[in-house]
Amino acid sequence: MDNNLMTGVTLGKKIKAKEISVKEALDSYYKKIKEVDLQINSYITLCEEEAYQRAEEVQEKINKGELASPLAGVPYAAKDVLCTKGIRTTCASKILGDFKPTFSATAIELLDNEGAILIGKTNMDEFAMGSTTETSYYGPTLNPHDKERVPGGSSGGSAAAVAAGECAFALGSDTGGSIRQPASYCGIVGIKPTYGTVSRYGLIAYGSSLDQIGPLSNSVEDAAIILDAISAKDEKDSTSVGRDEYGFAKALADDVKGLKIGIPSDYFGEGLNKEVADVILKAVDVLRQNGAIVEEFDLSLVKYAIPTYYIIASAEASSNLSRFDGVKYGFRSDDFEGLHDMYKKTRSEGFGAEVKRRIMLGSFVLSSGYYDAYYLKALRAKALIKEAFNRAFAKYDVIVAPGSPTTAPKLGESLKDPIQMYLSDIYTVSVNLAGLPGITIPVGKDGKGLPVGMQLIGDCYNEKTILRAAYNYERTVEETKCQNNMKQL
Amino acid sequence: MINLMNVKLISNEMNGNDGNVSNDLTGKEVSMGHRIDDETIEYVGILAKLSLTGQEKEKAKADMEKMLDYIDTLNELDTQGIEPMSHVFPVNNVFRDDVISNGDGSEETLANAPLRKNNEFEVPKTIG
Repeated sequence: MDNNLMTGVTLGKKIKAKEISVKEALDSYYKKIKEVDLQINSYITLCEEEAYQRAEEVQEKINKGELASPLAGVPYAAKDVLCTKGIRTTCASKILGDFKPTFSATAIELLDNEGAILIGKTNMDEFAMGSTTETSYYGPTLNPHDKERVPGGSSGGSAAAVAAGECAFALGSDTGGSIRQPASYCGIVGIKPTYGTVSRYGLIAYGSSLDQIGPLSNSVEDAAIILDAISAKDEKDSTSVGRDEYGFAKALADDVKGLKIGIPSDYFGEGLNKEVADVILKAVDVLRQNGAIVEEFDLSLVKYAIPTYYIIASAEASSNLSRFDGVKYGFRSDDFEGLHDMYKKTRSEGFGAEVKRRIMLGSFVLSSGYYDAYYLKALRAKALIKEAFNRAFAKYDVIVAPGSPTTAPKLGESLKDPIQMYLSDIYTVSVNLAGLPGITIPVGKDGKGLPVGMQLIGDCYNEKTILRAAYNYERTVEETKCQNNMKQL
Repeated sequence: MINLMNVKLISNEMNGNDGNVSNDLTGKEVSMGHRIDDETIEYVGILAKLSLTGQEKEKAKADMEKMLDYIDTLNELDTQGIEPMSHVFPVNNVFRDDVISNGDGSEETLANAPLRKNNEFEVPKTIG
């Protein structure tokens, strides 16, 4: 039996039943990583020593019956934007060097409490700025389904690692689609919860008003269970929200009868690859046959989402990334004259091209004379986008969208034209602007054999509704289940 | 070199400006032909604390012009009378007592410093 092709929940059950020891589970993932990671470069850092040490503690607790979580002993990976105490955290940037955080992100601590075991830190676009995982200082990650193609981004390392069986599940972060888009390209499940559901403490900030942490997994059930584990109000993140109830896993009823699904006709027209559209609409038909009520409608404002997003995200990034100055951690230039020159040289040598591009754009849109015309204009556009979703959710329980306009592009294609790359997030960024939850699930493949992801968007705090629809689809169409599509490399 | 005295920084915390700054702002009033000149890119470099080579400056100018042209799509949108939305949910300052919950982590913290001297971060001389 190949442990690497199981869902996290199945593996957790086998560990609990003593069919597999925690150490054996770790062995099989590290073995897989050694076999395939030279090909796809999903990981930046492995933490074997810490993982095996932790495995002993967890095994002991399981044996004593002190740890009964479905994730106990299950090996997972975390995007390298999440701080991990004592374990190198790079944000895939030169500027952080060998930075070892003195604390762990709340999401990491919560998974630790469940007995899940961190096995490594995954590759990403530098500071989560990019849609292909090609802007990493540590080189690009390749898509396990076709190694000439990108895995998507910015959580591309997490998505590729899950799809290739290099971990049972992974954490990612999503500012404009960075969980959902790579999950689509790699044929796995990815969910971005409602803003505030998961504490951002220890998540190195990119666009603070948009960033959320979420799971990438091999099944909808895994996604729900992991989300249950990491969701909580946290006094260390003042934007985290205390929810009345969590229990996402309990919502996995295999039933969509009467569920009202809206299909934005402006998402399925110009700009969307025909094959992708066909595969997704076929998937919607499955939900319709299972009793959902499906209607087309106009969401409107679609073309304004990307410009609004880039103004807001870049503005916030320019402020958030001002902390990287070569004083407290990471890289410092060795050729400078005086303090200010040290700051400037360190940042110029330490940041990559895309990060500098966004810091400059952000500085510009916040600068005197342009602040009203760009930054405030974007905040007004955001209010209108939010209103458009409010109108839609007055009529529908779920909005269906593509995960991305195309399947995974070839390496190098996107970097030639940044705006073209930005457009790959056209169906995901609005969800961040409006603070909504969104899940992508694999629903089939295009003619080239590349996975297509369908996105289900819910109203704020309605993760359960989208999880239920996703679960129903996954149960109905066996052959699209991720674990049947994982890539044996 | 541009006069730094004229460079007014605006923090993105908005400081309560959002209600009254630009109620008079409509898409039409914003005219943008988007030629980024040397002075502007110099100014952006100062704000962003980046030192760009001549070649990088030219590339940054071209990139920014292209991006701003694209962003101009927003000017089609009538936003008159719309309140800028900085957060989708109402967020307030959260106050709590300042209770120490961690130990002395100074050694671990300083271990990350590119350069340290005893128990301090070492930086280049700042005062002549």
